Amino acid sequence: MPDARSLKPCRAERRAKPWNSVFQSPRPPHKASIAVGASALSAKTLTHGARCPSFAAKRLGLTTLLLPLALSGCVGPQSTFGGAGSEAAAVEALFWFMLWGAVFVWVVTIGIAIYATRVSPGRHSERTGIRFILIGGVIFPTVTLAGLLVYGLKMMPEMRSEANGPTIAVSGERFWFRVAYGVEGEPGVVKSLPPGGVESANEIYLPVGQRSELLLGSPDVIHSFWVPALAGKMDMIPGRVNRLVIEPVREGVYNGVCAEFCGDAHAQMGFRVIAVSPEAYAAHVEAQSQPAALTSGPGLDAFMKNGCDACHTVRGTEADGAIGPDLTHLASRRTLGAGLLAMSEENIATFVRATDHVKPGVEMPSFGVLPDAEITAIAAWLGALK
Amino acid sequence: MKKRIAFTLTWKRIAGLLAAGVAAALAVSLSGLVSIAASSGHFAPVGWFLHWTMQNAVARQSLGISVPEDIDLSDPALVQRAAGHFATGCAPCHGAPGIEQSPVVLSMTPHPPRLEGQIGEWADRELFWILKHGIKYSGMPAWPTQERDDEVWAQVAFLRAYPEMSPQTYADLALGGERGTIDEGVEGSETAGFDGITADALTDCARCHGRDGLGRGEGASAGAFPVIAGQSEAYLKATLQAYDLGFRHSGFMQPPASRYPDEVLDALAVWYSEQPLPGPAMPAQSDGAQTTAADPRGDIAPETAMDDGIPPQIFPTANRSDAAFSIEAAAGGLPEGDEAALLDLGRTIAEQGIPSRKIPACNSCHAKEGRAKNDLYPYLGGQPAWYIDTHLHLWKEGTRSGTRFAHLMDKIAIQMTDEQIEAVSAWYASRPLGQ
Repeated sequence: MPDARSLKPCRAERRAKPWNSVFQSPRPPHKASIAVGASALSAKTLTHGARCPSFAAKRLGLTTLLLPLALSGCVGPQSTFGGAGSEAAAVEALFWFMLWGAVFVWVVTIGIAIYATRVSPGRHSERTGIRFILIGGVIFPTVTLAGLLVYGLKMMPEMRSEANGPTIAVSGERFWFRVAYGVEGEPGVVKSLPPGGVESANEIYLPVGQRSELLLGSPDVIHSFWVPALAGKMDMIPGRVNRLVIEPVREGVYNGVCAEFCGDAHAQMGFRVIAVSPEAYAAHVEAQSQPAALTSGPGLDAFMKNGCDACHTVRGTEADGAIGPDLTHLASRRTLGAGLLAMSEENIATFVRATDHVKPGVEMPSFGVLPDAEITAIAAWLGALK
Repeated sequence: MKKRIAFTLTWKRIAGLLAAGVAAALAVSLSGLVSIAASSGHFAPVGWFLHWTMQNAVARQSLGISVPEDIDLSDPALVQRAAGHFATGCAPCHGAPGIEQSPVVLSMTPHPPRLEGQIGEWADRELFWILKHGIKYSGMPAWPTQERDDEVWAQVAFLRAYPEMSPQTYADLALGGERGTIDEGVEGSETAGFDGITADALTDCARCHGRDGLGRGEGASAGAFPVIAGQSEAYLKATLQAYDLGFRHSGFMQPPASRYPDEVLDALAVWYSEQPLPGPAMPAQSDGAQTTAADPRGDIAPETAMDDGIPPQIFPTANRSDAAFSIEAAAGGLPEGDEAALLDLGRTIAEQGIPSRKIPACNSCHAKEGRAKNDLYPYLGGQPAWYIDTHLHLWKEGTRSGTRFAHLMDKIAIQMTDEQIEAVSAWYASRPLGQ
């Protein structure tokens, strides 16, 4: 179907089309991904029957180039289409089954409509029509939906079934995730997360092929725990411990997020899930349970002198604050500031120096008022805590 | 026969009249014939009208004000706290017991009244309003900051005590009594290195804080001032500068801090940082050492401290974690008047904080002894409870600034309930000085 606009001269086209800005944009392409989606569509329509073959070819090239960007939300460490966890895989299978089923039903329905109105109107009696509506409009949907319901419900007990892996407590706190490996406790109402365990933050190791039990809670407001590639969401509610069983089926690093608006820095409240072999998991927890690698030096002195220990624990030193993340093995984590910055000494210094600038709304006050030498010393020390 | 004037009022004519009125006013002003001379005083009916307007405004605009529950206007500590400010802020115009008004002041129009006879005519809320907002066109200034109602109430308390005040009492309260005189004897030789201005400034400080920095006032008016003796030099210096620059709000402290040049403020910071604290042999201290040495969790009134109001049958102790470690006051309900429970709560907050409420242990930064400490973090032990309480509330309201580290307290104070603030203030007030 030739688009009316495509018959106009190319110059007018170039001026009028929204994708033009994308085409000439000096901005990096990822920032323009929303506009790209639109351009992909309009470019397709326009190339059909366009009078300027060279320009049309360019557009086609551009489309091919940018289409993957538009679809990039469907792959990668934060995609629900990863199928990296047994639950996510089951949900994905359900999604595709329903998608294709819906396409099939839609095609048949539209086909019948065309047949009835265009191909041979009035061919069948009213009686046949009513019987057809009864079968196709009442019985078929009832049976299909009941079937889908059964199929869907059947998945639920599997998701809720007993864990056979480690129990890990995860507490959503404005705006980060407290993690404790190997706790003993149960879900329920009017409960707080069980004490003990090997503490870490913003990074959760899980053994592949085992069903790990996550106990989820919160001390402040409602958060929601979501690792799209592994499983569905589960709320983290103050005064209640929720349970989520996750079984990763493939090794890898997956992104997790808080999926319930919880305050200024909600968008910067993320974490990583690292799915590894059971042996590597055991080794990681064992390593995390050790005291800090470096328990003296100017960095620690500056840390203590300025009262960082009021909120942070570094096991093996006197620092035992329980308000912010445990920093005992900070440098072993992949990210800093709850999934925000890559872990590096420079980024630690930046975070300490301009906390509120890097992560607006963060609960930690900025320590940019410290002498630079002290910030550097603290960053060097924390950067060495593998 | 009546003569009618044919005049129709139109919008254009209204605008014209207004413009003519403005032009006339400008012309009067431009002519330079308006009487603005203070020497001529007010024409009696005009003077009455202006005064009547002022009285009505004060009476009406102060209607929403009432004395806060925690303020007792007959508290001698409040009288003592505001006396020094009266001497420098108010007495120069209004005079004081035993001090006549200067003829210079009496030549003002309107001239400031002596206050003995005036105070009784105003209600507490009206006095508060006048002190806080001042009175336009009269020479009565507003309070130097609008953020410190607590100071204004102290000044009201002083005014209430004022009509009955003898010259000797006034001199003792506001001028430092016998200790306020310029350097004499042993004390004089200590400050021998000071130039005249610094010595004068120290005398100025000493009218309230004492030369020893422990704060004036004894008996019922003890604890009227925060203790500044033995605070670090860096902290005192930074605090004086914060007052000077207006970062830290105080009607009492901003005026003296801006009165003297930086070198003098530095010398004063050194002086007070070197003042010794009273000997460590206070009985409460050995007591404190014992309790802090004990198990950090177990000794805090175990029965009540772990109880946050949820009955044990639905919230067994075994289900609680460190992260959820909460205490009664976290939910806001200590028994009224239970001093011991209040101090227990205060000690918990000071020594361990309440992690589940995001309140860190105060001692992580504010303990004077036992660990290295940033010079700009003050010690709190022995500070009067009202002082800690007031300032935590100021932080909670977001109006408290100070040294460049003051913002650290914003995120902490905002997590605290009134009761927790009261408890931790009471706890520090009960500690030996400087701890």
